[in-house]
Amino acid sequence: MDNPVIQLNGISKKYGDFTAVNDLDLSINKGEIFGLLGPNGAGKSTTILMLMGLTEPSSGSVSVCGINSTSKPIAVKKKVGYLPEDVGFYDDLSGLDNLIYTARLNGFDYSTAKEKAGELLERVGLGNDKNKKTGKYSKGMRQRLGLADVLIKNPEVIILDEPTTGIDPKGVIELLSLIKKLSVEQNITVLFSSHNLHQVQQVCDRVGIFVSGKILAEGNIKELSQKLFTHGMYLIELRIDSGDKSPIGSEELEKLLAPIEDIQKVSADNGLFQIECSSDISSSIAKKVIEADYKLNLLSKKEYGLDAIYNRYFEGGLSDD
Amino acid sequence: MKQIWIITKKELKGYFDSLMAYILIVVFLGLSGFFTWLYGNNDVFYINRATMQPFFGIAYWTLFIFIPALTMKQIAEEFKTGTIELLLTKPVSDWQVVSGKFLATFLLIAISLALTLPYYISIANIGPIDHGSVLTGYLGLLLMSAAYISLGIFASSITSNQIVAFLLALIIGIFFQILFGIISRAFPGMIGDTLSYLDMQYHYRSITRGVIDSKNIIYFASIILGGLMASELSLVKRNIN
Repeated sequence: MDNPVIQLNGISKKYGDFTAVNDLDLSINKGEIFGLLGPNGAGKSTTILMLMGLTEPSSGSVSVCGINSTSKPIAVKKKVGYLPEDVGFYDDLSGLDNLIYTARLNGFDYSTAKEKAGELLERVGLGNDKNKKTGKYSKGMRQRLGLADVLIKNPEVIILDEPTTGIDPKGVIELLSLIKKLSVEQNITVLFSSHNLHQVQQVCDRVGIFVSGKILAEGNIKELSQKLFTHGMYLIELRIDSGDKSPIGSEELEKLLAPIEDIQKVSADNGLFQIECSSDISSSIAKKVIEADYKLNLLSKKEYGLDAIYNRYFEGGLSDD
Repeated sequence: MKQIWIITKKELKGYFDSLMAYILIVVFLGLSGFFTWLYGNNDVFYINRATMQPFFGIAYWTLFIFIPALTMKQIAEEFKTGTIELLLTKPVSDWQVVSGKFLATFLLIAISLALTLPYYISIANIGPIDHGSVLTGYLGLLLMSAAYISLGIFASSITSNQIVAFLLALIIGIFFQILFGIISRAFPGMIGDTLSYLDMQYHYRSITRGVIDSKNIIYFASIILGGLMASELSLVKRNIN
């Protein structure tokens, strides 16, 4: 059942003649991890600013946890944790002092702030470095401190804007698994803005492809694939040896495979058959071919992931629709 | 108010952690002490009268120079290091950020001025002193400082470069400190009166003479509020961009 925590209704943001966000509608449910995927300058950060109440939309309405971000930004900021690409901390303060300061700004008294800050620093793996000045922290350590800063207010919503930029692969894996864990265990809604397809695919329940201030498509990977690749999200390639029998053509193969469901299209190219289908039916195809007394020289399967979806949108795929 | 106080405490601690506060206090006490007691021309012994006027005269100019140096990093540094994002995504308003920073610098100036109270006590022991004019003299310094802090924070809010913020605050200050007074003499009538009203020395002198007129208070309050509101607007505008 839909339980939208983030709700954008027809929002637009214009800077003079330039439209950064154009009539955007978006709804993100409680506990969902939503990936906002798009190139630089697509309007992702402007959308985040409007969600946080840091800038007003030119038209439309934004609400987070049922609170209007434009008219009540402070109330929204109490519920939303934000981790930007490059977190700024006070370099002359230690990690612990930075966290205590932001906890105090989030309304905690000093002793609670100190206790929570200590716990969170341990949790994000900075327990041993908590008294080190943040000016001496590495990029990965700063991002982990940023995550602790986000979590210290017990947020209902977390907004992550390119959070893994500059972090080593191990750090990225840890950060992403922590995000996933938080969403599952604490039912936190996460908006993950990124242009890293692999990471988005890894953690997000749903994805919105954002270009020129508009969401071109949204849904889970399967839905997007079905929407974009109208002949199916799997491509199975076959090379068949007919032996003593007359060579098989694409029409004969289509008839042979007709009893199998989910086949969208069969084509042949220089002896290589390509079967587009909506589910993984490679074993059924192999079985049919062998039962019909043909030899199977090659069978390969390709699944269209987020990278293929993304490329389809940004390399002329739109015209195919 | 709680959020403002949290920001104020952090900023005030920052002044003392960075030695800025100690430098200000030592130089301020040294300069004001020298000109009040030792200068040899217009000091307390030279004029042979128990008065704090030599101190108020030098303190006025010293603070005029020092305040831009204190305010220059207040917001410019937050933009430069990216901590403004950290701050503004917390449940605090732009006004609370600006007010917290204003109050921190104001308290530092107030502490510096409080440390000059031994001058007053010493002079009062030398001879009869007009306690009322001492009180209004300190009030004048506090009001003048608050006005320049407010303008300094505004200068710091429109740039990420501390040196630019310092120079800008100083240039704005020179208009209020010197130029409005000079220019006003060239214009008769209403324009001259308006420019003369903007001259801070005129209002400061009125107060230090022991006259607390509502028009002086309104003048200082307008500059303080105007500077803080302009800083807030500047923050809003820079957020958007």
